[in-house]
Amino acid sequence: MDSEEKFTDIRQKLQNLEKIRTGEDFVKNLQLKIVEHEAEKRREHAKKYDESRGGFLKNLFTPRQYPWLIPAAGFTVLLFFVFYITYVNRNVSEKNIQSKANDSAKNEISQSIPKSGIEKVEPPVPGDRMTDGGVNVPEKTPEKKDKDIAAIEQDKESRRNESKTRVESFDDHNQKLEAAPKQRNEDSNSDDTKDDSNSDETKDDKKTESAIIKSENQRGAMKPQEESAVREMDSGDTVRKKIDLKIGIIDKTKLEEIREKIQNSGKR
Amino acid sequence: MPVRSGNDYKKLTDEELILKFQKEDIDAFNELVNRYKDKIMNFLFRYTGSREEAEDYAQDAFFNLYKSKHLYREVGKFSSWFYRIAINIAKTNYMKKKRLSTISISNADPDEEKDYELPAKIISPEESAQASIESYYIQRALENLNAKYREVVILRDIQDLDYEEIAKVTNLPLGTVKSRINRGRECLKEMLEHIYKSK
Repeated sequence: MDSEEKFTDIRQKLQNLEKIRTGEDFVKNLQLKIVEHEAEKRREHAKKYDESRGGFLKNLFTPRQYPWLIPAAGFTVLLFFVFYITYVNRNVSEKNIQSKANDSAKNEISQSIPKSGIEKVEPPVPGDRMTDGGVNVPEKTPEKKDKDIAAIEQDKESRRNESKTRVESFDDHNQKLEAAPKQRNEDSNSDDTKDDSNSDETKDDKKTESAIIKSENQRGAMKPQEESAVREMDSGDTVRKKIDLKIGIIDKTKLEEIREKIQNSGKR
Repeated sequence: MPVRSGNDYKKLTDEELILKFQKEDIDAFNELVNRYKDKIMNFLFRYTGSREEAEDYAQDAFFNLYKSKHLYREVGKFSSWFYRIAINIAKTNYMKKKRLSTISISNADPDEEKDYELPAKIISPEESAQASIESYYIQRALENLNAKYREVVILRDIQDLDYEEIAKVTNLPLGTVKSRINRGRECLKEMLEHIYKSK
């Protein structure tokens, strides 16, 4: 027997049950629910979008949003780096050189000034000039300028006097040298018998004279200044000493000029 | 783009409507709501026994349809797929409710599974007088029927679905569906006889 036929009465009862329908507000409530859901979805989407926008660093490291940002940032960093190397670093090196020069100048000043207890630094006076090292140089008054000029002229005169005295001493020496052969001639005329011995003596005298001239030349070539400069060179000191040496070489040239004069006068 | 009138949508099948709704056509969704709202409401009322609950579950079912429209595949019938959504919602909520409000006889002896439960609520004569007596008792009998029999009996004898479709909705083999339907009818008959006798 088929189950459908077996339970026809119960099936009939179930099919005859009242059909339940939804309420009038069913569709409205459903629409309201859907609208709320959509609004929530939009809010979440907006929130996600805001989060995805993120900060500068997040944008920098998520290239899908702003793909141009990484190369742009890299280029700016590169530009800054180049600028730093070319300008900023150069200024720093110049400053370093200046500070070194200042330090050396200060050292020289401190060496030149005698250490007498506390060093007093004069405050800067308006109108005073400032050196590169920051040392105050008071403006020279006309009197001071005159004094300086007078001192320079005195120095020049003293140098001229020294050169004159040297030239005179060499002239005297030349005169002596000129006078010596004349005396020798006179002696040879008076004593013919003593020619051999005298000739030997004259040879010896010539030798001694040449030795004297050489020694004097050497002495003139190695003045005390030059000797001291050489000594300082040997000790291996500063650039200033080298400059002193150069000064000594200049004097040497002068001396050579003087020597030439002497030789010329000797020839005459 | 040509605008479709309401009559045009009424001519379309459920499957065509859901495919249109998958392409964000909200009118297709409205047509589906109009077609299925009473069917689902009736099914859920017979399953739960409460009008408010049935309406809430029906709303949830349509809301799930709105949210999960992309999950539908054209291979099956839309009605089977949608009934399944409704049954899942009803089952989930009914099981929660059952734990709170009914005294289960099977709880006393866990090894023995009963096909139906006696109602905890005693039917008063006043209540039975108010409603149609027969439909009232049938509804009570259905409510106390085991859930696995109840769903298939309602789908077959109230919603008038064929066995194949019930098998698809419940995701059970056809033979199991038939046997469950028979067993459910038997239990229902016994319960109704018991109620009438006690009355």
